[in-house]
Amino acid sequence: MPKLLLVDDEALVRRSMQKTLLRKGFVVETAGNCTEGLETFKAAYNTDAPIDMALLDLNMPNFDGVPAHAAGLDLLTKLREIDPNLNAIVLTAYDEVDTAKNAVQRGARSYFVKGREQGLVDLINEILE
Amino acid sequence: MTSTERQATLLSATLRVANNIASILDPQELLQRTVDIICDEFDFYYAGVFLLDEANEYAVLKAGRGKAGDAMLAEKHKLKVGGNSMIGASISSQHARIALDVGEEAIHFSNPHLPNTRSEMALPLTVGTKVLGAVTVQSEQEAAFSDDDISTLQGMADQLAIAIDNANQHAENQFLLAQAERRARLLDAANQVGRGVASILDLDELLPQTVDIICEAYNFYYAGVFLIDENKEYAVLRAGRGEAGKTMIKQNHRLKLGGNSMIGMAARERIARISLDVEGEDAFFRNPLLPDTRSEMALPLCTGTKCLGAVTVQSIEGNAFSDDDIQTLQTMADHLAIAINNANLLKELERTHAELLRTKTYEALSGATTEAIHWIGNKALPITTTAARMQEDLNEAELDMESLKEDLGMIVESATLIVEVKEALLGPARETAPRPVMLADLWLASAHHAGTSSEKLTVKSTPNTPLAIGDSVQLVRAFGNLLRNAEEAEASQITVETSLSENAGFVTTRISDNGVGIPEEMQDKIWASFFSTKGEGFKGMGLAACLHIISQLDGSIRVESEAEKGTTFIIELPAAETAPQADLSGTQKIALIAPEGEWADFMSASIENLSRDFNPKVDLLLLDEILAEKTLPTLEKLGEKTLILSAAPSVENITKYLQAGVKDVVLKPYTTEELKEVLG
Repeated sequence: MPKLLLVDDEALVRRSMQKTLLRKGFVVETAGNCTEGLETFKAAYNTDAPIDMALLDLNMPNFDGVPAHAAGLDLLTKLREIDPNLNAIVLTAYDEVDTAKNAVQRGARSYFVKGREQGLVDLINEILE
Repeated sequence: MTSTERQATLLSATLRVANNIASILDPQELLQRTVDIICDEFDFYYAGVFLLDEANEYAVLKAGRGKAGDAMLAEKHKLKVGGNSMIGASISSQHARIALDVGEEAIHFSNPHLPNTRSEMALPLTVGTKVLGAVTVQSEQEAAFSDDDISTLQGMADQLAIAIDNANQHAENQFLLAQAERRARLLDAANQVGRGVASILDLDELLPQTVDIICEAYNFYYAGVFLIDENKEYAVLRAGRGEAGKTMIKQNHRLKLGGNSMIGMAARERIARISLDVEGEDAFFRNPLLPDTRSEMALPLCTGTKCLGAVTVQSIEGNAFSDDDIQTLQTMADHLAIAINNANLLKELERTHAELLRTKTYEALSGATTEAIHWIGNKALPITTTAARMQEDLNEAELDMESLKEDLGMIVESATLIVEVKEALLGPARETAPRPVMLADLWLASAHHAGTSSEKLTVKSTPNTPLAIGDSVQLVRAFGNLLRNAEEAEASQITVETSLSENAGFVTTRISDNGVGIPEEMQDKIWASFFSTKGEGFKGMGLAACLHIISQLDGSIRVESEAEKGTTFIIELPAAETAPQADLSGTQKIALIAPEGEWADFMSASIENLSRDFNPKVDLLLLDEILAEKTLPTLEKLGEKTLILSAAPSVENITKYLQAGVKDVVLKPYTTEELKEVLG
């Protein structure tokens, strides 16, 4: 089963998304901020079950613990330094064209506006196929 | 009359003239009295005094005896110096001329007002080498003047000349003195305007003050200040003296630049226009409100190459402006122009500032709105996604009850957060009821409500710290937010200290924690609603509410924080000047159950024989809300004698306590006056 890393600072959003993805048969690791996310990714990286895809919230506390607009992109850059082929989707509450472009330029496979979790499941499957 | 008698008369006349000369400083009076004395004492037909005009060309009659004298004065009778008259000849030769029979005197000027003259004497009025005029003495008799007469009268004329010279000098001194006084007054006026120019930036104050000073100091009829309008078409009156000024301002009086007015010309040409007689002035605006103007001056108001307007100064006298006046007024106008320019610059600055403020306010509002939308969006998101998942799950053959319960719990939690925001936002905005409050006790109450453990929190108060003025319910809310803030920053120690502030009339209370601290770049933002450094879960309302509550109580709050070392919030609140006192004598047996501290000490000091034990025989048990939960189950029948005292009673708690059977729940008293009401 594909292993996903879900990083989002809103606990309820994180849990809801995790449940939906678990229900669809994914293995889901979660983290509440950039630092935790990086650690979780590293911990899995050298095992025989590394992370297949990262789902990263755009707005959350950055590596200094300070809420930042595009902290998710900083985490994305760090993750792709470790695994240049990592598939990643950037999650956001809003539809922002510029940020979406930026996300893709920094290596994200897609940019997903939170709201309809079935849509996210379809997107993950599409990328992983 | 014998020659001896005549000599005595002459002597007495000489003395009388000498006395007059000594006492009369007014030249006109001196001359008239002299001619009268000469005629009365010597019994002459006529006497007159001539003085030289400014050009030394004519001898002008200044005093003459009787009707003939009056008539000649009215005719402005004058005789050419050196001409064919005895007066003219005596002045030009500086010697007395005597005609004992004027008919035979070649240079006698026959005068129709004095037909009976037979002898005439013309005596020059000289002081040193200077000749001032001449005296004429005339008789109806031929050969009327004896040698005694001549020498006596010449002596008199010499004295008169000295007196006239003195009087002239006196008049000149008076004139110089008046001029010096006027200069001093003008200087003072210039200073007054200068002071106003330096200190008043409001033109509506400065300009009327300036026109008043000009009119009062120079005693002018009218002064006004015109400023050029934005289109540079008109000079518009901005200040005018007196009722005429008021009326013109009301009528929006304005003059076209360069048009048919002195102001219009002065403002356009940037040079002063001065008319010493407006009747002959083409460029003169005849103003029906200023009918008496005879002289007018229009001075441009210029700074650098820019002309801002012009000042008009008007007088009811022709030829009213001296060079001094023109110079001092133009200097004053130059200073005024600088002040007007400054005021305009200030206005411009204020306009720019207001614009900037509007932009910033808009940015802040739009920023706050965006934050609020983000927040609500984030909190609402799990509701929709979880509900969608539940709908799907309910179609499954076998229901996963645990999962469904968890999903419902998530929906409830998200919805509750959204609902609570309303209270967090609106709570602090409720009307406050400030009263004297004990800050140390409010911190304990806040810790109780916020669930801060007493092991973590130390509350200290400097002895004799006065009560603060505040609303205890609101302050407990604010302090509770600060305690939660410290807990969320993972503090293991929280210290609160209350003391008299360095700012007179204030009490300071500081809350310090050893938590993670607030990064410097965040310290300005923490006061905004919906802003949280914590990310997850927290509402980001706490500090915004604190700021709101404390500002509403006329206090202030600021933060000092260092990353990883901790945070201190410093709050200043107005001090209560005196705590209202009341007499508390009574016979009730009262017991108090409250934690050790400042408030328990206050209660013990206020109520005589207050029992601090759990005593079942009391008439009234006062129970601090902080200990209510622990104590209530042990009260049994004492419950109905129990008053719960709360710094911040909430609807939920009041309901709970009343259901547990207590007598009442009341606001905690901090003064004997309030305590008396509670015991009442």
